[in-house]
Amino acid sequence: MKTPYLIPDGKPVLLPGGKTGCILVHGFTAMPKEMEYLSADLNQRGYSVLSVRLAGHGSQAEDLIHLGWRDWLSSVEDAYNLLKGICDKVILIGQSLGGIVVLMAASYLPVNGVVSLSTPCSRSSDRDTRWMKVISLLQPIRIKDRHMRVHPQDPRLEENYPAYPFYALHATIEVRTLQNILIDRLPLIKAPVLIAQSHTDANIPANSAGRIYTDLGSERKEMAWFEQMDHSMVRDPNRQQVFEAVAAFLSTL
Amino acid sequence: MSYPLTIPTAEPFLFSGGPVGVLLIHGFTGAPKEMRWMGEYLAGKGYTVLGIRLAGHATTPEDMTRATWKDWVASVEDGLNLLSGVTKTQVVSGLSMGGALSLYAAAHYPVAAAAAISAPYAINDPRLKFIRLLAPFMPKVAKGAGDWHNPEAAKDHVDYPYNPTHAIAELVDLLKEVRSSIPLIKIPTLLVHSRNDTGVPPENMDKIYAALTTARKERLWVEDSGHVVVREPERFKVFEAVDAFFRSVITTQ
Repeated sequence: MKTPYLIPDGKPVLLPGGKTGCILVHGFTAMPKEMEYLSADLNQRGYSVLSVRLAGHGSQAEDLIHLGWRDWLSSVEDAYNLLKGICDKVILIGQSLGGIVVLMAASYLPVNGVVSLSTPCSRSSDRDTRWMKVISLLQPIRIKDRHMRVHPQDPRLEENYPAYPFYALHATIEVRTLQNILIDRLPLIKAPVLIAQSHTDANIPANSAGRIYTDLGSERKEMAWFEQMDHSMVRDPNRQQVFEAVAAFLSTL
Repeated sequence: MSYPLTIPTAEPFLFSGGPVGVLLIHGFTGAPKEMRWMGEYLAGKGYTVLGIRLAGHATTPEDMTRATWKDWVASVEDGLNLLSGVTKTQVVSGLSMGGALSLYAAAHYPVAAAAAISAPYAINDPRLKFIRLLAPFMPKVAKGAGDWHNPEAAKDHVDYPYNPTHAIAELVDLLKEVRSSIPLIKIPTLLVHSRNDTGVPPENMDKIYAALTTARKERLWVEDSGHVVVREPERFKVFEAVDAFFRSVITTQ
């Protein structure tokens, strides 16, 4: 087997800083490098940063098939348990699927704050997922876009983004399952939460942020809307606006 | 469903310390808890210590059934990447399958020294040839009787009550990779085994020792101990030897 097993962009990162630590969680099919700019920004502001690798990500697309949402959630629990060893306060920050996973973790872990970026929120019916299960047996791995280029140096990577060039439908079903579980648990979240979304994000339901906001049990919850930004706020050319909003929120915790 | 997924007391851990970091790896069906006493001892000696959780472990045996040996290798890489964020030099140690993974890490990653405890070289059972085929029909294999010399530690030991059959097939494949990796090791390596280990018979250490071609290899035998050496009466003899071994490597670098 090739070593190291992880793609260089898939390596988790620990940046030591102050006694308040931020756990950063990337999105579906993506990897820790997706969060590199936010990691650097927060570390520069004095926070310790742990950028997680979700299980099944950052290695090869086949690994998305046999692992699932429990493994992703365990990855975030691991990060929490490790960071607690060197920090007094822990804040969870997630992009897209990362947002789902960190909100889920915040429904039972005593964290000091949560930031959900571009996080989808909608309930899937059993009928939807049943069909997906059938298709996933016929086509376990699907190329994201026929025109999308694979990275010339590493066929496990998209050319222009730190993510797999493939989807695994089985894993998409896992995302839907976790989303359904999370929706029922949003009222259990008590930590302060910042929800950020762009009006021009075409990848997630437009009312996602509103739905999370309404159902959250937190006494303190804030919404930050952005314009002219893609789904991937953490790598958008205008990402600094988002980072400022995150930093402003964190400074109040 | 209950949360957290990680069994309480069995969480991975990070103890802050000096510029030398020790990665600790638990065994098959085990949990980070089994390495915690060793971690506390080494942290007391000034090391930074990270005790990882291998994918699929310390939650439920069903989670382990999904995992592959590559996921376990990925867990080791995660740990080394995080540890290298807070330390200058990394060394690695582990128990049983964690010992085998330490040898794998010693061969393939930039670590300065390795200490493999109660590590298996091979499992000699002709039935293992068919184990992968058997797994769907017989998902569980009962564990043998324990060989504890420390009844107190045995009482609050955290591990799965049975061996998931699919995971045994993965362990067999992992050990094959480890056997071909041992001659590639170029760093100082210490082996520790109990003469009264009935889980992984002591001749395994002789075989690993014979296969090692590194310039510096050492052996330590203990007597008043079963397989889980790091939680047995003679554990301090082992902790002291591992500390002295790592220290001698670091100071001669």
